[in-house]
Amino acid sequence: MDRRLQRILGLGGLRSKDDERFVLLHLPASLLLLLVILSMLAVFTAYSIPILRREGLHVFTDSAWQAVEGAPSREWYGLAPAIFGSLYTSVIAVLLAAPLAVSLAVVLEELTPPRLRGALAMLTDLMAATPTIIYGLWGLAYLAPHMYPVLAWLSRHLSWLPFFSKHPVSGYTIATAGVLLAVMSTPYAAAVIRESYSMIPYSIREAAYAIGATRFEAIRILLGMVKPSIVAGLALAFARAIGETVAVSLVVGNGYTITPSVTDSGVTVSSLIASQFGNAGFYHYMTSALFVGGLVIFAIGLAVNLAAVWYMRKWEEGMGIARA
Amino acid sequence: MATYALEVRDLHVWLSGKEILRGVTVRFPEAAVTAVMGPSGTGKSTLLRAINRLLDLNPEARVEGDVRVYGRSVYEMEPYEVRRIVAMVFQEPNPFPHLSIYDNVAIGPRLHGLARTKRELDEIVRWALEKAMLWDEVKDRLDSSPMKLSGGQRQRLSLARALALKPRILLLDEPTANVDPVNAVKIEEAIRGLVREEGLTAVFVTHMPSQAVRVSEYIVFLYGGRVVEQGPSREVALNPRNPLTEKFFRGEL
Repeated sequence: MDRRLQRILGLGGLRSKDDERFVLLHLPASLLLLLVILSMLAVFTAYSIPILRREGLHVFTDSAWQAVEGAPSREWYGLAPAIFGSLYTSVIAVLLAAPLAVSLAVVLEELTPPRLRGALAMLTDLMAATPTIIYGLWGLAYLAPHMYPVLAWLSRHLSWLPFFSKHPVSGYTIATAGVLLAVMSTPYAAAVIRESYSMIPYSIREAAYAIGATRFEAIRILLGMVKPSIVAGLALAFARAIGETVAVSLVVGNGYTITPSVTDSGVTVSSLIASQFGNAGFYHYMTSALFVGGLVIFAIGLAVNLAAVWYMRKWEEGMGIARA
Repeated sequence: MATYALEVRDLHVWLSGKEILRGVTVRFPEAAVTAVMGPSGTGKSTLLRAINRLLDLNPEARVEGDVRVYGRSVYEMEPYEVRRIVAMVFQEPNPFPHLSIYDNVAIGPRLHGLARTKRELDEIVRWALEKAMLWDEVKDRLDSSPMKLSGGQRQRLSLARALALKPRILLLDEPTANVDPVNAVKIEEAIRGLVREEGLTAVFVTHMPSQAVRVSEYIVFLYGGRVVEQGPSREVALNPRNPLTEKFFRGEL
């Protein structure tokens, strides 16, 4: 093979033909992945241009969703309620999933007899692997109707709190979406936390008890040790929540408003795309607006992940763990 | 006649059905170091963990017999109460990696409410680090991570963490097995100092005859889960009565 090409492909240091073949065989797969990501960014950017040209930053900040057939000049799309709804439902989901996931991990690792642990762990793994449409239908048929009396009670007794200021008209609300997302993402977060909790060396575990910690105190000490994995698990949960589409659109109520009241219906970017994209072709700017929405949740997901990575780096530096 | 801080009476321990300790009876004199010796797998670590009830953590462990700390049976006390009075240092340095040097030492006093004010806590931490002969090396970086310390320093931090509980008895499970010779000497000196100045009672597991003679007043020799010989260190080391002890001290066991 040509020397120059070898260098470009990074094959300079390879000793044998076998090594060379190995790299040449695997290079296309990683290049393909890179190409896919680049093309995604390109497509999203290209589709986003028309609406950004027309509305500028208003597309992020306005709350109107005016789809007018045959009159492009009267079309106006503001994504604010959807962006707000995505963040709101996901934050609720993470806030609920955090204690749930930590307790689930602790219960499995500390309180479940070893003989039952396998079965329980399998059940939570099954929960993580269940297709989200199953959760969606369960949420639609069971959770939402059963949430209604709870939310009605909350809004009756705690209406002075902005979160419960609106009396619910049905169980299809932001709160229901948040709860459903929490249920869906808890097994993910719990799996990450459990994994690292189970890797705590026995000598550290003994150390906790040897200083006279009660069981509860020891668990608290050990949980402190896996804090980075709790953050990582919750970042994963957030990513799953903000990306979830169908299940949310089945229970969130699809009301196009910004409201602090979780007892009100709402909308998310993903559910908006799912529900509107089919008709978007009838309008001049709607497709473009929906693509901007896609870019927004992509950016939010990226930001959350980067923040989690940054936090873990800082943690490792603090502990003096050298990075390769 | 010496008084005894710790008494083990006819102690049997089974781990996963296998009898590890087969009727151990031994008394540990107060304000002295007793070295527990014997070949590996003979139940030295198990004995320590039966004394402070760390065996409770192992669902496969079964214990019969009694352990008395100043006359009180540990099996009639709460485990956390036992472990406050009977602190332990392990073979592996095991400070909590996510806590600062200060918090590693302060965690015990905090759990047990040993300090009423921040100043009292600071004093306990300083005292413990000084007694562990680590204070001078860490006093300017109490907030940094123990993972930045050397192995020997980490082991002395583990010792300081144990001392901060203000224990009466110290269990040491081959505390110098994983540290360099310089740190080993420091740890030995620290233990001697604690016994001399604070009247602590130490149970020092080691398999090195030279260390046992250096550090201890008494030696208990375990073999096959039984006490084969015990007595003042010099006597046991120089004139062992049991052929097994003799063999061990010659390095043949």
